Amino acid sequence: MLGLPLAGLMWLGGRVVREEDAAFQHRLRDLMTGQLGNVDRLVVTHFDGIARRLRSSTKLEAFDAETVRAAVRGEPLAQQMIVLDAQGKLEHPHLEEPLNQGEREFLAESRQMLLDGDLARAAGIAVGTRGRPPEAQETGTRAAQDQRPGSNQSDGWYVWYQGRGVQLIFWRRLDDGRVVAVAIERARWLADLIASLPDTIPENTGPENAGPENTAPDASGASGIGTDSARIRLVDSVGQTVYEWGRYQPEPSEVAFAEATVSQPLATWRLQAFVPQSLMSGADRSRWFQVISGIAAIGLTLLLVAAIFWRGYAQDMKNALQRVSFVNQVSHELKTPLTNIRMYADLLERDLSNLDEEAARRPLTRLQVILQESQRLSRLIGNVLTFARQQRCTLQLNPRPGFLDDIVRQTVQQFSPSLARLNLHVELDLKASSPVRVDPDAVEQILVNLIGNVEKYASNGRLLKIATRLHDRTSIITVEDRGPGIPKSERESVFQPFYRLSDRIEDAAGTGIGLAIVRELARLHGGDARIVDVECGSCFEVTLKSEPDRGVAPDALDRPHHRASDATATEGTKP
Amino acid sequence: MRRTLLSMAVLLTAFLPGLSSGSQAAASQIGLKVAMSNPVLHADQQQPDFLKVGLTGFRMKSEAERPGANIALVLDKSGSMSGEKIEEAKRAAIEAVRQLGPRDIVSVVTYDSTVHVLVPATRLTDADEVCRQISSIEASGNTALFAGVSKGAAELRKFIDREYVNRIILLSDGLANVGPSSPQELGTLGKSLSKESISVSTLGLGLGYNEDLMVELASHSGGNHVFVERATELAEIFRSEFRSVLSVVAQEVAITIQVEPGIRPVRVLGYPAEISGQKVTVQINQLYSEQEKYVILEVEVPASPADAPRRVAAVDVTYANMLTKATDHLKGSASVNFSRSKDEVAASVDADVLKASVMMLSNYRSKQATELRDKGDVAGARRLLMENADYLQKYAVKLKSDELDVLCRENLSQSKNLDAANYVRSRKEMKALQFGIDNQQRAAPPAGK
Repeated sequence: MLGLPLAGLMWLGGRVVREEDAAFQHRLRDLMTGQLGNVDRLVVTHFDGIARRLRSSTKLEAFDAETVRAAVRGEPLAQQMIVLDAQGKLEHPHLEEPLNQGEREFLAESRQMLLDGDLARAAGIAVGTRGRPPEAQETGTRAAQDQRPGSNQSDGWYVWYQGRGVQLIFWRRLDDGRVVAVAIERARWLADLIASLPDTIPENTGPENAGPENTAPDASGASGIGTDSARIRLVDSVGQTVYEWGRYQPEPSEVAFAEATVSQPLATWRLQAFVPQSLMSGADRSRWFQVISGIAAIGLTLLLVAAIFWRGYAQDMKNALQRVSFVNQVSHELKTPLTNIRMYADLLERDLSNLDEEAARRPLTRLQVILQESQRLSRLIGNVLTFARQQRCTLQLNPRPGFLDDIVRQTVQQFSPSLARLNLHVELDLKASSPVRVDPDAVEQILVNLIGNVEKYASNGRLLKIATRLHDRTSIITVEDRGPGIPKSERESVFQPFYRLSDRIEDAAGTGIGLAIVRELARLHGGDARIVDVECGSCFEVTLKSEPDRGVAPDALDRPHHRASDATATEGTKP
Repeated sequence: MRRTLLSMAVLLTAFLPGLSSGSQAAASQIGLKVAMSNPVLHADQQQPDFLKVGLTGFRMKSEAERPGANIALVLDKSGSMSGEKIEEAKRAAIEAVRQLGPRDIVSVVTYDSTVHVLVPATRLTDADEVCRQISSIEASGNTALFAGVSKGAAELRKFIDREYVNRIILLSDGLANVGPSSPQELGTLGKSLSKESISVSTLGLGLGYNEDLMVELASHSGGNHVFVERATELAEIFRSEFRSVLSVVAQEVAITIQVEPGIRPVRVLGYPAEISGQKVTVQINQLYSEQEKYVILEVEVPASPADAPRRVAAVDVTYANMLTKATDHLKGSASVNFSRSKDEVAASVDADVLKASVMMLSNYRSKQATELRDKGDVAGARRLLMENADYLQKYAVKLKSDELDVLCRENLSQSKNLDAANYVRSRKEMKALQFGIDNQQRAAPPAGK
């Protein structure tokens, strides 16, 4: 009973967590992508710095071999310098002049690229393709690309691929149309790039130890929130890690949480962010914990409430059953004196009838009250004993042939004094004139309870209408009133033992077993008791399956006129 | 005889004073010696000869004279360093830092999978704090050596000063496995750093490091390289390395050898050099107090008639004098004569230049042996080393040189340790020795003594 709402809550909680988790991951991914963007800006700044530096270090007085070599010796970034004439022809290092080892090694790697005019084209010099279509130049170990050929830029990057990976050349066009280019020492620009990126700051290192100079000044943007505890990785075009930083140590096979491309001239490189699970779903886990603990708390509360109610209910039930059990025992004890009281009251009535009418009138009236109240007491005792038998499953019927209408009339007769006192108008519509085989005592008990209810709860309706009819083999009795009625939702519950429509103290008292007995007796007759719709008030319909007794002439029937054989008479043996 | 005297006279040993310095500064000048291994050559035949340009650092008289040091300690704290290695390294580094004074600049960079600038470049006014930071290092992770050096260089640059000795001291016990990690890449990085007068000394600890990478980085940047077999040696190595930094008397030494037309410059033994036509340039990052560094240039002298002396090369040296803070120039030249007398040719031999040339040539052969062994040719490598030993033996006797004798025995011992079980270790020894000969690396003299 508790499981279902809790499962529902779990599901809802799960959904909330998942959605929040997805939203959180989305935000985190945005954040990390933003951080990678910051890192990329560092890369861009770094290459802008190199370009600035090379713009000035390529401002040479002359571009003869001697001066250029001296410039290469003095420029830490330079692997080689290349001078192209205005037609894109290689002026330095000149193939026909003596070359040093560095120049020879450089030309061994880059000769084809230089001779093909790739660099010249990138630098905006219109050169012949030497009979080769441009796409053929993409073969081999390199794939040259950079700015659009013929652009008006006076300097820029030329990127080509060779052996160890990306090779960078910075070119600058001179006023006379020549181009001076610097092949940058790969290891050097890598080292400088790495130096311009943040380092790993261990968790236990406070800012007071790290010092303001711990990272390059322009790296502060990227070493901010998020990247210290994550892992940022710079990956080259073949997926090799060039540099990484951040405390988090990802698994070798871990997929990057966020990725970004690097700007020119490293456009084939990527930046990757790896984020620890604790950052990604640690919050998630704690939120799950919150949800689950919340649900657990709700569940516990519900259980506690249920336990309290159950305790109360069980106590009530126990009390009620104890009451019935007690009343049941007492009832047996009460029956004998009650029978005696009624017997002596009858005798007294007879004695009084022999007296002077005037003198006997007042005592006779009082005696009537004694008789009525003892009848009422008999009925109550009868109910309790019937219920007790039902609980012990020893309730049995004793069907006899008889007339239903007669039973109704006699029962109403019993009630007439109290009904008259309550000013209740009794309307009888009796159409069950054929003899039927029912337990007259049970039918009487049914009627006693239904009429008793009208007396107790619907007397303000001023009407009690009882109708009988026979339909096929079913006898139908309806007891109708114009009282407050019973809400539809309660129409089944009222047949439960000890169910009360209202627990208000001022409402009429009752034992709470009447209607349960009505239904039980009706069902023992193969029928049922239910409440049917009426415009106002309530209407109880009792159906009794009964064989119409055809074998016996109506007159020969033993009419159940002896009221003394009421419900109590069904009590066969004493327990 | 007259001819011999003449040729002897041509053998010119130049101690030309710098243009800017007066006689008072002569004591704080680098000594330049230019000489030929064979000042007298056989007439009428083409033959090789060796030119030696020797530079000797002047004596640093006191601690107060020494230039300031700008040192970046780049320490490997990868997982393989854990235990004794890292503890010894920390102890050694702390002890070494204590050698420095308040005007020196120190930074400490540690690397594993990533890099951490543990102590950003700072003047050593609070050595205790730096030492405290060093002692907090704990080992774990991979070996991002390239990034470590990159960050170390960046720290040096914060205070870079041509009047300071700018040095990265790199300690590694493992193979670089994050980022660029080929010897060639580290070599070019070293070469590039040397242009900023940053040198990188590489200390290879244990048997797991990549000696090619460490040697390339040190040789191209002009630093030292040491094979530290046991962690317990670290303290002494660090001490020695720091002393060497503190005994630098000249930096940015640029040697230009202009070879006369007709004579062909073949190769420079030892230092990486640039030969463009007849012009040979060699950069030596640092000269140490009272230590000689030299360059051997092999030349091919064409056939010449007897008694026709000719100039071989003019040598021009510029360097930054760490004492006077001036840029000094030195000039020298070397000539040869030719003779038909074998005795005269033999008698003219310059023992010092010959010894240096023999060392360089044997070193060249030793490197070839390493290459052969790397290709799996154990027998070929052994044969080459034994031939080398014989060669060294011959000259050790001839020149009465203990140095060559020691080297001979080294070669013999190496030839016996080429099997798989010993090669990991002996290769590191070979590489370190080869590097030491190329760079005339010696243990620094005790500071201030």
